Amino acid sequence: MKIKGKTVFGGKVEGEAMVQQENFSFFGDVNRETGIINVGTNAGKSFKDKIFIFPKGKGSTLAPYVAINCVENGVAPKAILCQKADGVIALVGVMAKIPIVDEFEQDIMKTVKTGDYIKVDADQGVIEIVGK
Amino acid sequence: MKLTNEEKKMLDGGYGSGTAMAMEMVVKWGEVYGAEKLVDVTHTHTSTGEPVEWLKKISEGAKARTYSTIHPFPFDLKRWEKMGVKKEYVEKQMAYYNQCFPYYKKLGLINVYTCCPYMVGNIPFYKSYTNFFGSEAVLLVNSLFGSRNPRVGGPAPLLSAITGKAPYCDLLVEENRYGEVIFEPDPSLKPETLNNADLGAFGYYVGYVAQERVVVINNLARTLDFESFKYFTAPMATSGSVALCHIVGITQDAPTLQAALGKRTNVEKVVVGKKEIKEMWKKLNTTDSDDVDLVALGCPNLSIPELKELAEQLEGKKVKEGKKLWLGMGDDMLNMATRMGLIEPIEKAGATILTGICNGPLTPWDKLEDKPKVVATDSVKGAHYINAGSGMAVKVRFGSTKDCVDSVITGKYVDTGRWLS
Repeated sequence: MKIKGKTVFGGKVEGEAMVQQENFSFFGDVNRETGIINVGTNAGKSFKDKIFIFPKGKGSTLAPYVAINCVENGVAPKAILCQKADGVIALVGVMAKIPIVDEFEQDIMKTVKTGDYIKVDADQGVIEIVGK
Repeated sequence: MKLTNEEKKMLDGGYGSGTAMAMEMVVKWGEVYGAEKLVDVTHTHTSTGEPVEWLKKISEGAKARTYSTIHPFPFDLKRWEKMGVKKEYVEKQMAYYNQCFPYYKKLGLINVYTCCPYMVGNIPFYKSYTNFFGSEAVLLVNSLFGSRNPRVGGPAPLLSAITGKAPYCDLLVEENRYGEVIFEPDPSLKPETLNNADLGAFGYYVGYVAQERVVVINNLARTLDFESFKYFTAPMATSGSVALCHIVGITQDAPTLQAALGKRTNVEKVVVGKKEIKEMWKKLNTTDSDDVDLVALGCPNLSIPELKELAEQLEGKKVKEGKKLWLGMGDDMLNMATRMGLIEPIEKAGATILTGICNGPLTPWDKLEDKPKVVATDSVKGAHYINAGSGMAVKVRFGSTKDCVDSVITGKYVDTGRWLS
């Protein structure tokens, strides 16, 4: 199944989905050395190499710096999908060069489940759920 | 997005690779908001904490094109020993800062190291475009000075400093600046009698209700000075992410309620009374212990009028053995206060002067040799982030400046406010 969204930052990757039900902040909600999330749905699990999905960004504007640290430490997610990216999340993409797609034609929080295998074409703003 | 020839030249590397990199990010940021053009930014205030490699790349061949100041640090870089910060942590952080400093210098950033850069010259004009870091600074310049400042924060101010640009969107656009929720004090509050801590609790409630909306405060029926303004508004960007607060009759864009609301009608109105302030006061006090180990003042950083009051209160007094009083301010404020003779009675009383520090929110509580059990502060923002940043390991007493200071002189915290009973 293909779902159309809007490109925030381009790139083509594929991987396993990890869905965080809560709004997310890179500053405070994740350990930048391990990629392990501190709070919410995925508390205790790492978002390393996942297609990381959450509703919206929240909290500290230092998030883009933490995202760069995650990339440098090799623990960043492969891509980010969300309902709506704000300026802070946009700069996470731009600075850390993580592909981001938002504003999907269907609610991404309901359509994708943790463990789904997803192909992300952030250049076109399209994702494809290819299997579990 | 439509770019001018000059902007295209920046993007294409005509002003070096750092400027091109910054411009690329400004354009991307604008695209997310659907901005049609960029505008000229005059004043910026940048954070610290950039990854060094990134900072190196973006500074390549670049100079700040704006009046641009730098935020403070989590600890006093000169007096960290007095604070009792663990040496290995300081050494690690200093190694990192020492790598950053040459790039700040190269860029021509002004190292004021205070969260209140407007107290030392970073003063935007009405309706100019600015990009300040720090939730309170964003709220203050947008509201009090009436400059047009985006909500983005983080690296965005540095991007604007290097390019002199920001995308025309968000709070830079007039129609996004009108009030979306109105708050009025219940007359029984007697707003004219509220001290700065009371105003802070009021602002904290406003933030919870407003979240990210543009706030209007109506019928405040009192004047505010710079100090009460900062203690009133900073909490709105703590419990919520308010970036613009019109105070009718006080702030630039709000000579009248109508002016603050523009064309908006049927705007939600919320009355704030004793019940709401009590609720916030109780939330901020995470202990009822009267045994306070440390009092942290200066969030946001202390001003001369505040230092005058502290000098008077501390004259001839002594901080009790085993208790600490930390006063956070910018270096320039310390110089002025020293010349004015305000620092002598403060130091004689045994208070610890700290400069270039974010006193409370960024304090590395888990990196202190002798971690306090109970900290008292007159700052809502400080209280909120001490609770969050210490994982609630450090308990907080929140109250008036006078109650906080008295507690380390008498050795016993007594809340003389009217909210706990």
